[in-house]
Amino acid sequence: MPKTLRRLIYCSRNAIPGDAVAAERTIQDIVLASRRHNRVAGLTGALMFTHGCFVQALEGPRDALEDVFERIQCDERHRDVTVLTFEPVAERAFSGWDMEYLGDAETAGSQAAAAATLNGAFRQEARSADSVLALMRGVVAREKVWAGV
Amino acid sequence: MSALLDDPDTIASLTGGALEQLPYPVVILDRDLRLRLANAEARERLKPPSAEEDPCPPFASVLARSGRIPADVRLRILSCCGAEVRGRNAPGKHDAVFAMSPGHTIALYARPLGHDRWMVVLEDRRRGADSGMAAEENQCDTLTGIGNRRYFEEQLAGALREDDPDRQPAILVFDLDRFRAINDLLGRSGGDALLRAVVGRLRRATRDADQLARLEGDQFAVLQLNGHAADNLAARLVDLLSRPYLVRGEVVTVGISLGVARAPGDGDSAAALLHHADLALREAKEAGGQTWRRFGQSMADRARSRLDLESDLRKALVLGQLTLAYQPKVNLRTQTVTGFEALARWSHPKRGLVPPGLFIPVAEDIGLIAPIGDWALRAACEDATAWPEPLSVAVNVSARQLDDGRHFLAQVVASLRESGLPARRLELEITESALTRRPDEARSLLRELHALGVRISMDDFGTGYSSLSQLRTFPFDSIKIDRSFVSALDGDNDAAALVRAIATLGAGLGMAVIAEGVETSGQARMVAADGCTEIQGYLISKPIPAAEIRALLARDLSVALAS
Repeated sequence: MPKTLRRLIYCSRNAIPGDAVAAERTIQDIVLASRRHNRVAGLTGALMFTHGCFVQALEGPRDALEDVFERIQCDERHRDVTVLTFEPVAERAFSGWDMEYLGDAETAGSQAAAAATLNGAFRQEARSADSVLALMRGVVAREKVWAGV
Repeated sequence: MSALLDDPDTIASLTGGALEQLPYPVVILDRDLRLRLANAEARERLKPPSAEEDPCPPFASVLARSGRIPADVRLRILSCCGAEVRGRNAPGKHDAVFAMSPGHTIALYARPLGHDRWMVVLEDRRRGADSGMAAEENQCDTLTGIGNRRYFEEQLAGALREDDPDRQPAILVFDLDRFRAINDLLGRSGGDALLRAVVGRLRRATRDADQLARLEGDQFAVLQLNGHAADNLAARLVDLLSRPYLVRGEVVTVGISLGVARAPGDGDSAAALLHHADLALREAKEAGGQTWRRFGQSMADRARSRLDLESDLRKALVLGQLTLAYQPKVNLRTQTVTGFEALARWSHPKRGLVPPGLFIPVAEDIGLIAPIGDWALRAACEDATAWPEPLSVAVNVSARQLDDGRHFLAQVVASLRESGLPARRLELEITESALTRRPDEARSLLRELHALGVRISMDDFGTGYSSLSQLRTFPFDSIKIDRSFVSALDGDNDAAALVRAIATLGAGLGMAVIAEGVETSGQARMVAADGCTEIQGYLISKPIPAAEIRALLARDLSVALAS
């Protein structure tokens, strides 16, 4: 079982000290670091930052996910980490993305949907993992269209 | 040299044959942190895949596969290598030392070799020679790699010997809330994996100078030589260690409870500090867990007074300080007394009358409830023989007494035989919660007692978790509705509906239904209208000494009921 593919999705609240500019800079560092690490560990995924909250999807082998989650949990730049799903999956939803970043610019068209989805997610409402995944995939798909991929 | 060598000329010219011979692991990585070369020691320790399997495996998976290095140390090794590869700072700026276990560290040096290659040396450093190794075995917790209790006590004693007024050592002791339940859920090896993950976070949250130990089971301790910021660390640990874990594919949520004690104010010996940190931990636990407490003198005072209470209670039975008081139960239809409930009273020469709510839980904690129960049973049966037929006596039975069913049954039989009280005049009151621990054993015991002719009553009904099927399969003769429902009757329609439902249920099952805690004639009228058959409470009488029972029986109760 440890070799089977799993998907982890969690949401958390921003605790980066300082203003929005500091947060944006720190998040860019986080994204770069996580891309490097994920490439080595065989993980793919996406990180969304909106309404002061992080939502991250990570996919890969179970052990690698459990290892990286420990690092995520010890990061004091966020809090209220809420695990939405940690389930075996048949295929990757973000294959090709070491860590796609979806910030305010990317989620601009989905602000209202994102807020509603996040509210449900922190309350761990039923199917909130599915809603979050659909939201992230929707933004990624639109990104690809704009980029002409 | 190794078959992993991808560019023999370059590497060999850079390192020479010496690399292969070095007595510690040396690896060469590329820009993507893939393993390009491992010397003999590294191959022996890390067992990388052969060149056929994977010519340049990710260093991350090699470290993970080796199974020798905890996850948190692995991640820190990788991040140092990554920082060096990215050349953020001057070469060597990312060298680091990682604590593996007491007296065992790994020193990491990473250096660029040019040609997009980096050399990483991992040097094991163990304190002392062979004798030191033996001592380490005795002081290391093999499950998690941190120190054990012996190690911690030695470190703490050593820290306290240093006579430096600026250094005030502090200790933090914590355990996991509900670890037993989690162990049951995950299995033993899953529980062990959780403990290792806890230690991983503990290592990250502390500095290398902090001493870490697993004292026992799921209890851990941190020693800070300079404890000025111990409170900050306590808050950090409660936050970080109480965040959810992923263990063996499960999401595990567990809180920690933590106690802090600081020398010299909170104790100047290792034993005193550990004891006081433990008291603080208990307070955190009693506050609901997932929090921390700093030791305070009031905690020691409470612990002291609790010990005094326990000691006095142990003597109370032999010194004859325990007595029984009796509270009557009255049939609402006939308006006559049907029996009395025996209630334990403790009268201490200095403390005065100690409320049962205070001493009964203590008696349960220290294993005195069974002897007290045995005594109460005998004394109640003896007292009741002096009462006119068919008045009954009801005795409370604790969960602990049901645990040893054979002993309890023998006590009931002996009490009846020695007093000569007919079995039908003895009633045993059992709470719902006492039945939930081992329902099958309790059921067969109660059936045996019932077969003797003893009557069985369900006490405090509505406060526990009994199911309706328990009412049917247990041999109950009566149900006592908890006083909280009765006191809520004035103006609470829900309470009235519940009382009515319970009374209907009892009537349907052929049981007497007794309302407890009836204080006013209004409540008596309401529970009568709702279908209760008997009442007990201050309206009729408070619990009275055995000597006053005759006078009570002579009273006309219709006055109280009608007022």
